[in-house]
Amino acid sequence: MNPVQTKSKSKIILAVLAVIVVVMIVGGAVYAFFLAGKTDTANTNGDANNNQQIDSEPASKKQVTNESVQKDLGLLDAALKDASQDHEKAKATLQDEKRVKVSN
Amino acid sequence: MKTNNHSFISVSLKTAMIAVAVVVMATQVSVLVATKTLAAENSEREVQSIVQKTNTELDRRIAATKASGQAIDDNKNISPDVKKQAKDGNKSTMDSLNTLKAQMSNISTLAGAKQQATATDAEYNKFKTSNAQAAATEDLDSQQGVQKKLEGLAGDLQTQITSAESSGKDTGSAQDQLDGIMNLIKAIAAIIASVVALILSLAAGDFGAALKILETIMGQLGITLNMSFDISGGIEGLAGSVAGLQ
Repeated sequence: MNPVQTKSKSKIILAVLAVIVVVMIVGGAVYAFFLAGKTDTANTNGDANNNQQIDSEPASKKQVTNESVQKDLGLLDAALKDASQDHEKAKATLQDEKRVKVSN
Repeated sequence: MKTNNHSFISVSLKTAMIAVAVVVMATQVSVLVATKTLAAENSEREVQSIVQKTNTELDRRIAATKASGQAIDDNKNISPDVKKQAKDGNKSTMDSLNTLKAQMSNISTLAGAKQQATATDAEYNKFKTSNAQAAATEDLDSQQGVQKKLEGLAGDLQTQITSAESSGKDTGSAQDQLDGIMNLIKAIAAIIASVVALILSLAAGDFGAALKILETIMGQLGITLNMSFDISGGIEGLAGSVAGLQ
């Protein structure tokens, strides 16, 4: 094999290698875009499912936990305080100490 | 000469007497005028005083009735018929008060002011009844809200006890306590139902009888409020025990 033939063969090999690298880069990029798109779809579907779960929770049976009971006990305390105030106010309307008899 | 002297003295005396009479009469007239002026001023002051007092009382009642109407609108738990009855009473009172208030601008005499003041006092029981009814309705609404929360919590505790029981835990004591609590909640519900019936029985027009019924209603709502506090304490204690079973 003369030196000219050897040089030409090397050029061909380099060109083939360059083409392979370009194909790999382009292919990798396309695959990356494909994967990204797939992940987005999966996330979107996941969010939708999560939202559906939160939205549908009140419709299904309430999950009773010690925490939910404690929270409801707090709400009951507040409601009792309000009821107590309303009761005192109602009793006061029967006394009506502010009344002024104007025809004296 | 003697006759002339006598005549002169007689004329002089007559003149003097007439002069005194004129002075006395003039004094009396001025006193009369002054008295009349003073009386008129006093009357005017009295009219102003009655008008001012009546206006203040009417404004107070109108403000209270307006607030009661708003409170009735804000109720969330009472039945529509209880709400409607309270609202009707409130509206009727507001109409009467607005009529009385409108008449106040036409008062110019003492007799008119006194008549208006008497009419304002006569309407007092109507105002008091509708106001107390609105307040009792608000009180009832709050307590029905509390009742719902008690029922909800008792239901939640029942769920937890049933769950613990299915896991093989000994829930006998907790179940007994909860049964007692549920019976008390039922007792509250029964009293509240009787309060609703009493409120609906309030006859329009008979304000004296209505005020007596309202006193009974307040007494019953006082009982249910105390029971609710007791049950709340019981539920809180039971919730602690049930949490230990989970």
